Amino acid sequence: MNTACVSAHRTGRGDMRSGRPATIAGLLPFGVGVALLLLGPIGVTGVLAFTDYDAIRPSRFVGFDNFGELWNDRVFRIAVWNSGAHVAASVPLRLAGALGLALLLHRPSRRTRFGRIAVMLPTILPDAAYALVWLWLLNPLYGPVNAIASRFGARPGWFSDPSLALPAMVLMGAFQIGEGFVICLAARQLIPPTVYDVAAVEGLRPVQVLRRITLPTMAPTLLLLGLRDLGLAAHNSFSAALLITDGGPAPYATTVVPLFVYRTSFEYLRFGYGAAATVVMLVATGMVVAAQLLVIRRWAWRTSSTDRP
Amino acid sequence: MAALVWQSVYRSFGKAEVLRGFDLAVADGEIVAVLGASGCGKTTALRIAAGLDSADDGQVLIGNDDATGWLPKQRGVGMVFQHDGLLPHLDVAENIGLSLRARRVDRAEIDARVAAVAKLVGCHHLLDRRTQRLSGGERQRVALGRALVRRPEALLLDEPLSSLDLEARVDLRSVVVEAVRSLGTTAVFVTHDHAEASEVGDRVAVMGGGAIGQIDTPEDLYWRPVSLTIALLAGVRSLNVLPVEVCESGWCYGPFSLAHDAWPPWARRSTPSTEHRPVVHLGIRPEHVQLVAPSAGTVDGTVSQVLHLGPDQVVTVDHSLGRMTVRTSSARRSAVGDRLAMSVNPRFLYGFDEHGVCVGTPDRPG
Repeated sequence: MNTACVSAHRTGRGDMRSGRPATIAGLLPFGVGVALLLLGPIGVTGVLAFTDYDAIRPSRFVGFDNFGELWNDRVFRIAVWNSGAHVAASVPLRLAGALGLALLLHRPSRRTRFGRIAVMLPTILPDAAYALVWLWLLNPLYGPVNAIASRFGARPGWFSDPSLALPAMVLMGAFQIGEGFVICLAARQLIPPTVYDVAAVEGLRPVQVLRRITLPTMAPTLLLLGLRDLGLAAHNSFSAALLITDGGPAPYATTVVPLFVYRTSFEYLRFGYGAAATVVMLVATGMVVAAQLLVIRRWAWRTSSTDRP
Repeated sequence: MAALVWQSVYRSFGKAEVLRGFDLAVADGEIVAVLGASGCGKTTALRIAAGLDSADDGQVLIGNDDATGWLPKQRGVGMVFQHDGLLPHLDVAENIGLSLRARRVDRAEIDARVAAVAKLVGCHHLLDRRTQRLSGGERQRVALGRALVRRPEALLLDEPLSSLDLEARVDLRSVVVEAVRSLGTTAVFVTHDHAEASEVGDRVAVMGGGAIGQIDTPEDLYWRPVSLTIALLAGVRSLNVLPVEVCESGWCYGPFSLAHDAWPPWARRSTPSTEHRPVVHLGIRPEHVQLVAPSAGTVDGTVSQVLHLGPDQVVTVDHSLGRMTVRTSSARRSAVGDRLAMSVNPRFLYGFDEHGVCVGTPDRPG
């Protein structure tokens, strides 16, 4: 039995090392999926962006006309502004929330286990159900939030007030942080306990422990999480904007770029124009991600080199 | 610097009683090595002294003050851990100066003190290095420097060398002793390695069953152990233990006997203790057994293993009643399968009663 195990193990390793065909075969299903579901649509979108196509008449090549129109489109500008504001507010807020809760709940005990489940719950709810919960929570007349607010003489119309609708959406997103929370929790638990014993014996105060030990050690994880959240920001804003506010209140208070794309393409049937907006969004996100990657790479290089430059 | 005292400290984790009346007094400026098997509570005792854990009962005194309930930082003790706990994002100098920076000591003074302590522990050439690429030995030097830089009242060392390779371990023992001595710091050095405890400690405290079994100089632990357990622990190779009975001719070990007039001096003195607590085990250290040519009346057997240790060799001999380990000069040639007899000088016998309490120890030669 034992020898069989050992030899099987060896064969496995041998294949990994020498057999490129085996590696390729293993990657094939994933590769096909990526090609069909990701690269294909991106390519099609890239081509569509330069055409005028309404799914009824044959498409017509229009060069950069779509991009020129976008540049002058007031609604698109508002959508870009809204998306930017949403990302700028929600990414740091979500990161801080995930980190703070992870630091609060990293110790194993019955109470923290309960807390961890509570943090995860909003994330595992379907988007539509989650939106319904918030519609009720922030209902201006019957919602519990306004029941408390009205005691202080305020009765904000969360999703109906143009200046409050986007902040309300950011607030909604700030509770769906389960994945980031789990990652922060894992990163925190990877820090060896000896480090904290040293800090206690050497007399570091809690703030110093956070600033000198916990945050610097978790920094690579936090940077990656921020990156991921940026990429996901579009997805996060879309369902709430579609399900709750439908881009309103009037005129365009919560019209974010993904909603603009959706409307242009599937409601106004201007697929070419929508594709052009998608390309702009992809390029903008790609640039921000690339900038962050650059920062991370430089940072990683700095910490892994033997000597300081 | 200050004396450090544990007074009948108790600590349980769930149902496991780790410390059961742990008593240990370390004098000002003394180095005590605490020797014990893994999981015997050595680390817990240190953590309680450092304030990282709290006792269920009992006190810890630092200087003359009852420090029970003090926060770690109020105690002014330093600690070196088995895993160094260096911070990867800081360089060596920043790691050593961590506690001084936390106390907002003046920058120039930090640099001077870090440089001085780095020289003391032999890592001054590494000060601007990041810690990831340091060897295990270098990392523990840095950890030692970090613990010493603020001149702690007492230094607690929790198996600091046990994760290092042998060469670095031997090197660092003297580094630890010299650094601690030159600062005059009181130190408690926890280890499971007898050789390490003997080399580092002024006194060695042997721990077992959640308390200190014996605390003595390394010499006295070897010559005057209080129990069979401790006698088995001290020494490079384990003690040979022979079950004996008192019979008409003296002590009987199977067909062999040791007449009264050949008994070691402690047994002939026939103190009340030996009368009331008859010897049931005799102990003889491998280095006190001689290999001789077989003749009538000798215990003879066959060599089953030979270990060469350079100048010495350890020969295991299987005989009709069991197995004996003998340590002799390697000048004498021995091979597996040789027929040999063993001769024991009764002067070097240890005696133990039925509870394993030592009732007699050899007279030291010279």
